[in-house]
Amino acid sequence: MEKPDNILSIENLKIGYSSIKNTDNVLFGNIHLTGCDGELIALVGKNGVGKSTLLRNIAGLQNPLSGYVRFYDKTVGEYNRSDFAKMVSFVSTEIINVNNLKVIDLVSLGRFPHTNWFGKLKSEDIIQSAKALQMVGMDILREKNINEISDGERQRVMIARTLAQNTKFIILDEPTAFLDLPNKYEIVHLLNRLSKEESKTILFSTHDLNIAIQEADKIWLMIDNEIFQGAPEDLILNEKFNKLFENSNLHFDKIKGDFRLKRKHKEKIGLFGEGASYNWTKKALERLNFTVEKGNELITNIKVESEENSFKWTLKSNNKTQNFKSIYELSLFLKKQTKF
Amino acid sequence: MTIKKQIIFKWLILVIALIGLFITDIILGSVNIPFKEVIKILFTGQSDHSEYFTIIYQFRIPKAITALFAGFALSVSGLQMQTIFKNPLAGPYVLGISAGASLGVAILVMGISSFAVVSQFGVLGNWTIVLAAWLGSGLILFLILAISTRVKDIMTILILGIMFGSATAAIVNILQYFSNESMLKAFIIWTMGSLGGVSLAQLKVLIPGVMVGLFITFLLIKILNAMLVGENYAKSMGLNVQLSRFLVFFSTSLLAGSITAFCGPIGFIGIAVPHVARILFKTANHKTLLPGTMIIGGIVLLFSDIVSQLPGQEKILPINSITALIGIPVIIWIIIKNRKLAAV
Amino acid sequence: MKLKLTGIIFLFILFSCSNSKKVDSNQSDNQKESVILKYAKGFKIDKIDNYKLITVLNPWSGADNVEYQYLLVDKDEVLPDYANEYMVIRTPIEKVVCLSTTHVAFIDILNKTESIVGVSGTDFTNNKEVRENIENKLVFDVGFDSNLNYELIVGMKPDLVITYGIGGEIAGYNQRLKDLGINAVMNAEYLEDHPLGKLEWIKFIAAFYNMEDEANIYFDSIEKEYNTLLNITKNLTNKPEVLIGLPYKDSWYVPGGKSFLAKMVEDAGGEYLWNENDSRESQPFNTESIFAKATEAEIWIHTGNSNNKNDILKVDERFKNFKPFNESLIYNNNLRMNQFGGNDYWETGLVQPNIVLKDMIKIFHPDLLKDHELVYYKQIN
Repeated sequence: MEKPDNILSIENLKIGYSSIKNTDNVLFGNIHLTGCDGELIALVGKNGVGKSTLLRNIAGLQNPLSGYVRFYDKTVGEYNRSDFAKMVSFVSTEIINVNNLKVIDLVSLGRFPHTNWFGKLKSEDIIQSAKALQMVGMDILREKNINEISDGERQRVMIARTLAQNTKFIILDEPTAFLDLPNKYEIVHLLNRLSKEESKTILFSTHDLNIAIQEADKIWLMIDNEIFQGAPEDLILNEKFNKLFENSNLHFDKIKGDFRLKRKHKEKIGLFGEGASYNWTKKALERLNFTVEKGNELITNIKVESEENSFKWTLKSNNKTQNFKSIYELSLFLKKQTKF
Repeated sequence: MTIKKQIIFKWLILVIALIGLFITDIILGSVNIPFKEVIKILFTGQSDHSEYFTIIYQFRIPKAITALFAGFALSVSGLQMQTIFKNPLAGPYVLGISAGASLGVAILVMGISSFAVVSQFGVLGNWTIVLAAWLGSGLILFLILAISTRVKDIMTILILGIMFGSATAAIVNILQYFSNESMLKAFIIWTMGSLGGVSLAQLKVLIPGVMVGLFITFLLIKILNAMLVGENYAKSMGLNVQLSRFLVFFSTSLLAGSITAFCGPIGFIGIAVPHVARILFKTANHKTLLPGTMIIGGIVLLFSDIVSQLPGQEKILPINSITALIGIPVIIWIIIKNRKLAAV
Repeated sequence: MKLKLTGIIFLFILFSCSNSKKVDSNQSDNQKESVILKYAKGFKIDKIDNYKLITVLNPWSGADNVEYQYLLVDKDEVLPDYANEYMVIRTPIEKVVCLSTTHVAFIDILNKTESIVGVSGTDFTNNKEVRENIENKLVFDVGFDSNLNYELIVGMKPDLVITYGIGGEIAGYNQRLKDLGINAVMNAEYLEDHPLGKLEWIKFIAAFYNMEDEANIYFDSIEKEYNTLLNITKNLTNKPEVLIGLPYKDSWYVPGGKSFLAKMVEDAGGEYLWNENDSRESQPFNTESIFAKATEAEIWIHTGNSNNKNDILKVDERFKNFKPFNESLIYNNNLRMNQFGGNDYWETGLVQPNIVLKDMIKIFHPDLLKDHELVYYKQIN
């Protein structure tokens, strides 16, 4: 078996805050993690477990209590500032609030480690900045002030800034936080593309598990006092994902591949039908806490059939038959029934 | 007009205004010197009235130069403070520089300077006051620098600076309480600020001090721009945060400290002028803001000086009152206009 | 501005607690005789029966229609029935606290220096006896202005505290002392604009010691000499132009044309540069305008704390371009100073205006008074 070529390795890291009294406030200890060339890594974990702190430690913005973060063969401390900034860039959730700062100017700031002492932008710098804006799809807004764009747009501009910085490693803290659903997918997909096409190693933290599972090559899973790493599918199969939800009503259904609320199912109901209409009717019935049994005629059952351009639902119960034109009408009726 | 032409036009107007006000400050004054005399004195170096000559060369020219450089220094140090602290109400004195200077002068004028010392060491000269002010503000700067290396958050430094300022003000209060009228009056006159008390010899120290400060700030343009996005982001882009803080504080204290030492504390210029520059040039880029703030600072202070002369009258108004009357409306207007009150 | 406001506030407070009732001068069984004061405008002494009623008028700068009255009753006398309307002071006093060195000077003339038990600022006085007493811990520093050491004063149990104050706050100190059971009177000789008016306050002080005769004799002799000197100077034609003072940074506070210093300059045969000015107070001028106006000043006096020309340059280097600095005679009134910086000009100078005048005449007109040697002034070189 080929040993993975780890260009990023975190060894026995202990993160936290040291106070004046020499009593360290340890947030998380015993961290061993690795990352490869061209990998998209998602850092996942509950709120407050220490994801931001870990990312800041890796990005060199905070010092660990003990242990090392190693890029290639050197630890963070062994790099000089400028070289490190050309290698690792960072996006946080901090909101930038400056008047009269244009989008393109903010992105150009990312060229900081590449420009001379005066900050003069050469043609290479201008090209990189423009390209970065294009990649995040924000080039139409380039002349706008950053105070005039939406939070989501600003987030993308901040990401463009790191792209302009043109580093091998990009670290992002909750990059999808302010974005709407399509944009969430787009950004993570962009990050995925970057990791493959430009062979960058990208590490980001997120709460959007679905997206992480879909797009990331690797997941770092932070739970209470353990960290697991592996392909998303590995962590699903070995049930590690479920440790995230131990104290909640949610569980990850590894067969169906999604999250479900643990429900106390009550009555059984039969369902007849095919395809999408069958599946979505079943989902609705389960939401109403029914256990669905396919093709069971002996109990109360529902038949869904297509009719011209729509569907119709037939409910048979105690030899009574009722028709419904929509799932909504059906569910209203069922809700009324189960009350008695 | 194209954008480029607009920009050139703006700069041209500013430079003309600056030169014009400089000359006006020399022409106008408490003593009514006929315009022809002024020209004659300036261009031929001679005059029938020796006292006019003295007034122009010993009083008005040094004063105009002082106003110019004080305008440069105070407004530029205000700009730096606003950027590094991301606070639009910050000014050159938030680090406690003027408080430290006033402490030094207070101790000299009201504490040590009992008649005993004066009769032994002779007159309380001008240079002694300058030295005392310098030492006072230097002490505060030292404290700030010592703390800034240990403290992560820039906001903490801001609060500490303000606290140092309050602490020194409290000590000054105690000194005032125990002083008699003449000492008190001398001190209070110092706090009103004065541009006309700087002689040509003192300018030989003031100007280099300010020039060095401006030069350092010029070198800091890229760093100041990076600080716009906050120290965390700046650090992630490769900025040496500790060194940058040190250089910014050092140049600020060089600029504001020199002016305060020679002229006493002059307020509101440092806070108001950078905002005027931002509105005029509509940019956050320090490449433009630095020279822009400088020129506008010079213009405002020259104008204030002309007004404080009450031309034609023998009496004068303290410079601080005029800068307050000009600066405060500007600041209020900025606050109202910027209801969102962005960081800078 | 602030003084005026404080003055107004205190006026209101005082109106309710000050002695406002006057002795009815028409009461037939009261014999009233007013002491004639020739120059002083700040106080009046009325002799009623065997008592003395002293009225002090407007004892601080900016006061208007303010009066304080003190009833002086000899120790052996019986208090009159109207006594409780005034502050009563039993005479002669034996222990006194002086808040100004001028008071020390007055008391010294009366030879009652041993009665002084407290002064405001022990550094300032030049009086030999008082200085000795300070050394021997018989005289104490009671502080000044807002931080008078009331405890110390009460402990001394003085018969009288003679106060002075620039603004209305003095009313506050006086009231405070009164509340503590200490008699305090206001002495405002500094507000007089005639040098003999200032001196005449010796009669005020003397009243407390029952030494009016001695005071009168002294005053008359000084007045006589002063007027003799005036006779010499009043017809002089070659009056030199006189500049007074030093600037602070670029503000020069110049004595008003009607101030006492201006008067003395005129009396000494000098021409004060600002004599057309109507004010009694000092005015701030731009140093620039002084430079323009004072070019012809032949004499320059009262140059701050300077002892030589270098000291003047230390204040402002530009004086080297100032004609009077280079060509005029410069005299400073700091010849008699004690080692702590207390200037006797402000102490005995007050009670010897004739000597001060002689000094000034000698400076302005060196050919007159050839035998006189300067007492308070020294030349600055």
